[in-house]
Amino acid sequence: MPRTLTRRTVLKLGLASTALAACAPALPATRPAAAPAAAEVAAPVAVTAATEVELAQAMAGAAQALLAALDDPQRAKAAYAFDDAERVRWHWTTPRNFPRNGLPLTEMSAEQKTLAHALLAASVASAGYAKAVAIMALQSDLGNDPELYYVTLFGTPGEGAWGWRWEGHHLSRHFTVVDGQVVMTPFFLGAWPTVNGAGERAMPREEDAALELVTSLGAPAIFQENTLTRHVTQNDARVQPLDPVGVEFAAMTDAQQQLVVEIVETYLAAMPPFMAAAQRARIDAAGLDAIRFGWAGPLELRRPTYYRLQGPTFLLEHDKSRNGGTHIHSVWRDFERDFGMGGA
Amino acid sequence: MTKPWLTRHWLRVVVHGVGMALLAWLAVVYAFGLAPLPERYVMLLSGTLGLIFLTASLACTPLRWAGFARAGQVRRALGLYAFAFISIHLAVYAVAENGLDAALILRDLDERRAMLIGAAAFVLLIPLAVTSTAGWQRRLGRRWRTLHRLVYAAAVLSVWHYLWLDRDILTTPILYALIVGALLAVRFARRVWPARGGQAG
Repeated sequence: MPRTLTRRTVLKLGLASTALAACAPALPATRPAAAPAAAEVAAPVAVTAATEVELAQAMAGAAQALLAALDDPQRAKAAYAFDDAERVRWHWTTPRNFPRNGLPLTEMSAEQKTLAHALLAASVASAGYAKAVAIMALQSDLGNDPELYYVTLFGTPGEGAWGWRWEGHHLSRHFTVVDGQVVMTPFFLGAWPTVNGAGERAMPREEDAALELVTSLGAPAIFQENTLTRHVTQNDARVQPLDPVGVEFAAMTDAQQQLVVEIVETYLAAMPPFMAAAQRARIDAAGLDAIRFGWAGPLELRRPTYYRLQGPTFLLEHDKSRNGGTHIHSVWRDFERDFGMGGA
Repeated sequence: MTKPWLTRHWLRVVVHGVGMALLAWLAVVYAFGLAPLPERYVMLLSGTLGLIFLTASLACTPLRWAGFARAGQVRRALGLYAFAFISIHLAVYAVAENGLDAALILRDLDERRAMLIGAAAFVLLIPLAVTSTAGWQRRLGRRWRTLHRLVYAAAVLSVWHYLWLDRDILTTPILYALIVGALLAVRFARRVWPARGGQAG
């Protein structure tokens, strides 16, 4: 230590300290910090609803409990009229790029967060909840807040037409109850990175089953050599069927058809099992043979790719064109029932 | 009596040692797949290291003013390592991740403002890297010093790129912004209020 502390010495020490501080963030973190969101929230009660009526009641009860726990300013943020245009204003990107309305988890108390998570779990059952938690946990890998997810309610839960939304980066879930029937589309599931620092994947079969399928189908399934640059339907409120591409279900082998069914069921697992079964029955009734699978891009897991699975009633777009195929944007649309519009 | 070479040049040895070790680490991770997503790991780390080395190169002159004369020995090396890391950062993005697909790159430039800023920072660094040698310094004369003031803009754009990436948590980018801002402020202050007996700048 110098005998006299001169201005020059102070400047040297300050610059040296600054240089050291600047180096700290560069230390290669091999494993990111675990996401706190799900770990801090008490595990929600498993869904036991087996019919749409029970599910609607469970959702309404959970939504009412959450609303009751909010104070007036929070409720003003979270609650909208059912016919408000906000209900169909949605996106998958970060709040910095798409300012969201609703009440974020970051503005809730611990008890309120527990109730919010209970509402989500009541709506999507265990598999859907686990998927949602895995997607939110990835935010920590991105330097994002894993609790920056917004809850928005539309209408009065349990009275007439009502709905609610859980949305944030790479996760957009919409729930509508109309005439006692529950609609859970559209829903957006994304993942970036596709493999987290611990080597875990949030959407493994959504990727792998499709790659196995296109590898099996070969060139007829590839409708474009290079990937699309984004999924076609973006954040449209209503969608129409896209141009048919790829191979028809009827032209596939049994093994290939099983992969198609696996992709469908993997995505429908975002819903409670009986809802998924009902969706599956609807798809079957509309005709499995008319389903088409098309792929764009190379046949590699870690390359930019896109695939589309489309039937008479639904459209699945899986866009993995970003960040060298390590960034998934996937959306499930129902041509007739999205947001409960049209015949429910 | 002349001091031993290592005594006179220990800082150069440290800078080159660290720089080369980090470059080797990136190569090893990429080649042997030591991370779950090696391209992503290399791209992120190379970008961070580029910013650190760029900031460190900016700190050399203020350190010299503060009496740490050796800092001037390593300014060029730090700048070149910064350019190397940023080049790797860009190469992994453009080639490894996007396969030089113009449609994908243009989409990113359109959707993510930060990419355009980062590209601009890299473009500014190219002439600095090319003219970093003593030969160019002699050829350009006084214009060399003017040209190399581009590093200030490159540093600002690099921090701006970092700030504008899609992240909610901005603690680290803001820290870099403050550091780069402080280093530029010191230069500005020196020009406006030159040191006693010295010249401005």
